[in-house]
Amino acid sequence: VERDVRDLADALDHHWDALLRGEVPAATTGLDADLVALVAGLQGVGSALPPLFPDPHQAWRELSQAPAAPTRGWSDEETPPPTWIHSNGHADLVAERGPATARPRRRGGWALGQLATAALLLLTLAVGFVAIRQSPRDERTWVPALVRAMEDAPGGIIDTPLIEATFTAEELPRGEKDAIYYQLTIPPGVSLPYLGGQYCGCSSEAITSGVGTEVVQSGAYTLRLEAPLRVQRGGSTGPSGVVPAGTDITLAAGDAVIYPDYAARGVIRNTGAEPMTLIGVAIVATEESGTPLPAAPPGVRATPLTHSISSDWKTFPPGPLNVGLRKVTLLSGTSIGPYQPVGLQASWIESGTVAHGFLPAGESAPPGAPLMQRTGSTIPFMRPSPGLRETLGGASEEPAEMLVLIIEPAALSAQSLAP
Amino acid sequence: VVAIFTRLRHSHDPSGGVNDSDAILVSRALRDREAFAALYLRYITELGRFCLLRLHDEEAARDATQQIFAQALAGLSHYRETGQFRAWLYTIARHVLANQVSRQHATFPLAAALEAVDPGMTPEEMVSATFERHTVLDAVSRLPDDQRTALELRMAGLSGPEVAAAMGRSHDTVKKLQLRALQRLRAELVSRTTMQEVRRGA
Repeated sequence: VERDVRDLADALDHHWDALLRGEVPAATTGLDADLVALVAGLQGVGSALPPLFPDPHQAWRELSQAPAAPTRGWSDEETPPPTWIHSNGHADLVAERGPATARPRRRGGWALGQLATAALLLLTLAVGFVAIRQSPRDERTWVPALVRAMEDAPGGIIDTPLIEATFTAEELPRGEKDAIYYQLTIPPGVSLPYLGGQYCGCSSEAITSGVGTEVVQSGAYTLRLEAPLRVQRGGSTGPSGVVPAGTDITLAAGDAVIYPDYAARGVIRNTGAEPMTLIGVAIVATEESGTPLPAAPPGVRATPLTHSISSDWKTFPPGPLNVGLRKVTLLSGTSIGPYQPVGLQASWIESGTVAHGFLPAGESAPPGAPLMQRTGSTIPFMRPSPGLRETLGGASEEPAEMLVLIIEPAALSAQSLAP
Repeated sequence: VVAIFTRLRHSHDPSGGVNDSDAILVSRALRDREAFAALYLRYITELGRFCLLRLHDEEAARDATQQIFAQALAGLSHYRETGQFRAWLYTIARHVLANQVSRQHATFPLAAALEAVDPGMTPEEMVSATFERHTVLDAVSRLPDDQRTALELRMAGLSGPEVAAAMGRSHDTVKKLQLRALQRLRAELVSRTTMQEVRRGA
């Protein structure tokens, strides 16, 4: 049945692509007349829409002449209004631009100018010499070991960073700590107090201190905390900003929130019409607070995916921690590694099957068959062991999609980036 | 930091004879804001169509389209070249549109856009065509968000791999999404037609 569905989905996709290219699909094997008619109908509706901008060049001029482009606000109340000239002639939101002033040209000093140019040229050469000695990835402050292994892989891997955050030593909980990787679902309209730690199922008491980060997978997530938090819109390459304490912020799918104070009080709610699901990690103190947690409202589902144990942290040097969540898709037959993890790593398999293999120090072949991790399972945290390398491979016909959580001590990340 | 090892190249070029890749245009735009025009012209039509399908209101769609490009222009320095500029643009689009939809809290008729039917039609045919389009778009807007997005991106003119890149999903996942969406749409339309027939009979 699954193969039939896949074949049907393939046929549909090919048919639609052919239609898009203006080709009359030669054969519609496996597609019934209804589906063919629906595709044609939808394509027809889409292409019948009149262009919104009859004169795109004029629209570009209006956009490019507008003042600084609006950036998205971090609080819903702060979202700026559009500041370009509307094509309907409304221009009241456009700030006035001051007249351009020409910079005065310096007279004389020709020799000085030549000297400066020569100095600049020398400086450029020196910087260029230093730059070409370093690989481009050295420009990044943090490249997880997994990512470096992916960059060295032949291909067939899609890596999408969802969030990358660095927590300072001051922000991190003191004493023994635990990392919890979890998924949380809140039904539409449900509101609940934000009490860090309770929905990961790790404890029956409110936590004393901690940090965390969450990425919204679907729905609308609105939260207000009595502490500042950081928000990153649309993946780790998107714009980021700080939301002051006591401010409502609504996140959509792909947006992420970083909690420098995971123990802060607040309220979280689903303000959308669909269930809100997020995936997150909390690094919290294991010390108990003595404050019992209230029961979660009906319908709220908290799923702990995995958590660390105290001994996992023993190899970590003191100092800041880099924490990242990324979605990695392995096409069938592709693999990452062998590579040696730095820090802790856990992966939740969203779909497909991942073969997780190990290669001990000094060995060139794995001592045993890889572990097969299937949809819905989690590759748990493993304490890094000197010389032990790992491999991850796509082991199903369909692409294997996994959400990988990486926690690396910044000090070790920096060492591994050294040329 | 986005490292994409499977890069989707966009072969089509609707921007009026400019054959440069997105990557080249982005690198130019990073040095010269005016060079962004080529990217703007390349994607404005399909993005406008996508916004219109999402918002069902021409004025709002026009504003949203400009806002998407304004944000892209403002955030271009954050874009890391991965061969997926188009997908990045659609990521911004989905966020801008999510904001717009949540503000509007209402469904808008695609009135003016949908009246633009073939002038050769008889009045009866025009009414019928308009009604069918309304019905189809209304049914699409009731689909689960990911299914709806996949169909709307398709209707905007994106190919299967391009929809996958824009949604950040695998192509196989998108294929299944499309199939489920169409099957659901068919069921929805069949039930409506049946209801209309029932009403007509009554």
